[in-house]
Amino acid sequence: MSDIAPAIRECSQSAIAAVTRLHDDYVQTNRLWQELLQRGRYGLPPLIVQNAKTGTKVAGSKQWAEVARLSQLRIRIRTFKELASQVELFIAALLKLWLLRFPEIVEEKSITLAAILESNDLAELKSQAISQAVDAAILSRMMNKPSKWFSYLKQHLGATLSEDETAVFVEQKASRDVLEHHDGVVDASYLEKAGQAAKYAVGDLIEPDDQTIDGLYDLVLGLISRVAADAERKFSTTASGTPI
Amino acid sequence: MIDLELNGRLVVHSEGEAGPYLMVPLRQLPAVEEVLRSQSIGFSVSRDAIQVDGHEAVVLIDFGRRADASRIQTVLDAH
Repeated sequence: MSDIAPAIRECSQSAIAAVTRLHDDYVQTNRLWQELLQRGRYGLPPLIVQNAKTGTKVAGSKQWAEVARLSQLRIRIRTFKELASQVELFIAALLKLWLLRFPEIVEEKSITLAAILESNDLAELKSQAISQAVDAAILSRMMNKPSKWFSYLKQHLGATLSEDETAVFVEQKASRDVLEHHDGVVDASYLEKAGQAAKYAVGDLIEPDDQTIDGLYDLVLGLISRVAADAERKFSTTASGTPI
Repeated sequence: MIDLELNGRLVVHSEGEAGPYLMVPLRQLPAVEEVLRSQSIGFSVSRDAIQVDGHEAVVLIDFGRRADASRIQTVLDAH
């Protein structure tokens, strides 16, 4: 077995742990805010909390309800965005593992003259050149649309992802971008990015809920697990990479 | 509609910026969902029903930031 397979496994386990932490944090935090709202329902005495730094005090049930609702909204949006980003982070980490193991297939050459002049050590310079070229290769690929990432993974790392699941992810990633850049209000760029999988019209407001978060969690976990398993399989039978 | 646990009207709350919401005893959820759907009111239900201080298990229904709280309250009051 090529020595890259254990590293791929470790990379996917780390990504899966990050995804799990995000979902756990979402559920636990959201549940606590819900409990606090329910305390108000029964007229139970609200907590009194003063921020020692800013002096802001939250005391009454109405104030707590406002804080709870705003926090629920924010954590929902943040969790959705961060979950969607985990696929990108995982793919970038996987490509780095692969390209550092097989640097001869990297076409990018990004070492600068300044780096060459500053270096007194040939081995260090070589390592720096490889690292920079790999980073440039990853960056150029991750700047592409997600559909291109998946095509690349299928072509070079043997990923066996279905068109349906990649289309769903492409839509979720487009939704994530709307939440990040347009406060959740759908614009034309969403339609362009989501393509046939688009679920919203221009002007619609994207508001992730518990079911959306659960669905995205399943999707992200599935994509990471499958890509990792396929790449591991490929490198357990092949000793070299495929030219880019 | 009457809140079956508190024996008062079901109240649509609208504190904060996340849009109106409603707390409903879990056992009453199907009936409330039916009314909301019959009036084409969009909503989502919290994953968890939570019990506080020995009270009933309650879920939170979210209507979204653009929802009209007074319309929803009117619909619930009429059923």
